[in-house]
Amino acid sequence: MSRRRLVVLSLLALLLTALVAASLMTGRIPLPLAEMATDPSDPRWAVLVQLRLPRTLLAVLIGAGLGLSGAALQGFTRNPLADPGVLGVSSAAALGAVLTLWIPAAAGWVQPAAAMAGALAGTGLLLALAAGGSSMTVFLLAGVVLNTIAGAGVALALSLAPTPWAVNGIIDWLMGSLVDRGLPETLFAAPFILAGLLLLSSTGRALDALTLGETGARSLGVDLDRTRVVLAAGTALAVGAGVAVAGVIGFAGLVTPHLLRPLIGARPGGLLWPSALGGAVLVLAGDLAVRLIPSEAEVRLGVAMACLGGPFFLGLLLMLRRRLG
Amino acid sequence: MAAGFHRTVSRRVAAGGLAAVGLGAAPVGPHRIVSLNPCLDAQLVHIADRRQIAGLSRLSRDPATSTLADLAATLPSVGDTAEAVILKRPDLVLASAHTSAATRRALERLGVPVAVFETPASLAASLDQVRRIASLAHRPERGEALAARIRAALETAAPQPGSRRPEVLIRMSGGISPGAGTLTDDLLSRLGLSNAAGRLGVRGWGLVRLEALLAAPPEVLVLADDGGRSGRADQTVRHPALVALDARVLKRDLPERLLFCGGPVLIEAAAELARIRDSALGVRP
Amino acid sequence: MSRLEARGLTLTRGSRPVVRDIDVTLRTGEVTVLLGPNGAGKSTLLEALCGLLRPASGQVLLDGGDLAALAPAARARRIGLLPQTHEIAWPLEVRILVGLGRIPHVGARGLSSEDARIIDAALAGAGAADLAGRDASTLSGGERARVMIARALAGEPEWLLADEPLAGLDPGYQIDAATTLSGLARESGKGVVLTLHDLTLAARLADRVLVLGDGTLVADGAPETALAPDVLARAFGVRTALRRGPEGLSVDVLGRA
Repeated sequence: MSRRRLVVLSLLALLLTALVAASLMTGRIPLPLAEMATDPSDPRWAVLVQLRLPRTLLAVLIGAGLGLSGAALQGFTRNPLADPGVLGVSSAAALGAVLTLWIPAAAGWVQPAAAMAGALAGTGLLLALAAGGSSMTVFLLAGVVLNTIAGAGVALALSLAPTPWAVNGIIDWLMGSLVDRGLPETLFAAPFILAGLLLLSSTGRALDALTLGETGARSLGVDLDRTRVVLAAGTALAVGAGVAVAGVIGFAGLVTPHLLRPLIGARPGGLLWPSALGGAVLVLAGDLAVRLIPSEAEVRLGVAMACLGGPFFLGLLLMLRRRLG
Repeated sequence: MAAGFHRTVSRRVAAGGLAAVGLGAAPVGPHRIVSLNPCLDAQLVHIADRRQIAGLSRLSRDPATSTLADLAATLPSVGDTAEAVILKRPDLVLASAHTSAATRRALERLGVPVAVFETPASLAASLDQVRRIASLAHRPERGEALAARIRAALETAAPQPGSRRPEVLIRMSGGISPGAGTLTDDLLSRLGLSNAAGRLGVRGWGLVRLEALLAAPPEVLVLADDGGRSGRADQTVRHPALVALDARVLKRDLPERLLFCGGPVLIEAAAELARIRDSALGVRP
Repeated sequence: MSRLEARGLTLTRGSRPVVRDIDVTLRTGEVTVLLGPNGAGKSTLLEALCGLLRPASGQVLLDGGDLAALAPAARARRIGLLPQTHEIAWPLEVRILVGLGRIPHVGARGLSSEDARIIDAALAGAGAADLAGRDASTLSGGERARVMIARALAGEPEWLLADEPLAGLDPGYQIDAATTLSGLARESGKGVVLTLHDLTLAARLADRVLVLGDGTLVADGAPETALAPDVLARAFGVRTALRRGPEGLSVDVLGRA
């Protein structure tokens, strides 16, 4: 591993550790290290173990899923502005969740399961639309189709909702939040996200080969059809599970590889795991910031991340103008 | 509303007096109740002792939408996350079906009893809710008293037997009307009013489009908006096109917040709706 | 000694037939040049010989076995392609870019010191050693062409199929590349198949020339035969003269036929 890569990864790991510690200590009830209870009957123990620890873990997993799938998608489409949302997986998951509005008094697990089903069904549709051998353009267009249809479906479902107040609940969820996500949510999402991470990380060589274009990659023995399936399935698992329990959290998948590229090089395969680490840092930092903002109503994480997007893209634009001008 | 606490005070004095004599028992029941919904808040303040209330929802402090804003300002307020609630060390939490499922689950996992309440769809359901809260707070007699006051208010507001039933459409922010199968619908029929929204096919809470309204206008149009705080909603409720109805339709105003909840607010809501009915019938107030 | 054959090969792009019923047998140890006017099907034939294009009918055989039956990775280890368009999607360091050529050989363990040695040799062979540390996105057209040759060489394939590998190169680098490709065949015993536009360069470099016209082979043989004036007149519509000088064969284009 190059010296530079090692330094960057070590710094990220250090940052993540610090953020994890901070996350365990932050909330309505400040829990500095000295005051952390180890006695299970102490209510502070319950807060730590039932609320803060799972929430922190979930933020790390979701961030890792977003970061790695963002890096994989940017490598696959050879477009540094690609995002896990491009494939329509988040929208399809959202549609699955919104449809549960009509199931009265649904048990707690129904909504995440429906969202996961939506993500997988959407991915299946995507792969069917862009069936074997068709070009990158068709594949991306299929993603646009899925996004449009799922988005329209969500809007339709909301407009036909049983009561106006039921709509508020789902809109809240759509904005993305880790509030009060505990052990059950984390245990639900973790296996899917980990499976997705493993699948996506296996595409490293194919992504590297794609630097030379599709023909170049295929001449190096890469099976592009198989890569496409693995990519779609991995994204559905890694990102879909996150959406299922926490709503739509954007931006991290787009920005993390973007920030790491100048630091550790643009080779797509080399950006995968570092982006997972960077995504975890970004989402956890965002969740921490949201908890530190002094406001009665906790700002939704998805909203906070989206608010970061504006200045980021503005900075990007100004930098590009200066470079090209 | 203040009556509840006067009762509390007099009860406490009585209990204290009795205790001093050694014949009374200290009041039992949950000692720290947190409510996460303004409708539940409004019922809780009538039923529970002041010192039983560990926290009310933040929305109850908003004068525009709350019927107990001043009172709520004197009581503790609690945020809607599990951590904020835990901070109050509750032994009972009242939540609505619309409270975040994640928060409810988190509280249950933390070992806090959570009672979940649906939006009542009829007067009977609303009174049941009052009694259930009273039972959970171990103050059943207060629940009965409140239910009795609500029923009495409806009796007072009831129409003269045999009088005409004017048709009414209640139009709320965003053009929403309470239709068939809602608490408001039940209230209207008990007060001798016919619900135009039901006639227009609205089940539950639904949108009545302006065209449908203009094509088949009711006798009375009740404009229940939020006093113009949100610009767009105001347009929908008081749309310029409604001017066309001025000649044919009687227009009346009603504070929207009277229609959000069941429970004690029904007393004021019934009185207002009865006044509107009487003006439509030309009855002297 | 390895054989790459096309048997009754018909190739289509979409519904349009590009190449019809071609039979040709290629051998390692030779430089074969594929000539023909634009659109005659040279790139298409090259892609098919590399196993990247499924024939409409007919077969491509590698040492008698159907090429399509080989797994992509196994095929890539034996046959390498240098495409005409030099796409480079990311600003990689040249050394890393050339290292991509090792992908068919490298497993999950990553590049070894042996791989690094091969990469360095490939860079030298392509005359691109001086570019090794550069950012690939800053390369000029000719520099990019040299780097791409290095990438193809790094794969150490048994068969190297190159589409216009000398296009865009300065004369000096053209000579170097031609020497490297020729050495690959004659000294290292590899099979080299390339397309060219320069007829004289083809005459000097090739052991064998295939001329493609109208979707079929109009000539297949030694340069003296395949580059005869009547063949070129039919294929390109130009009048030519074939000369043998001290430097070797030359083809002079005299005018329209």
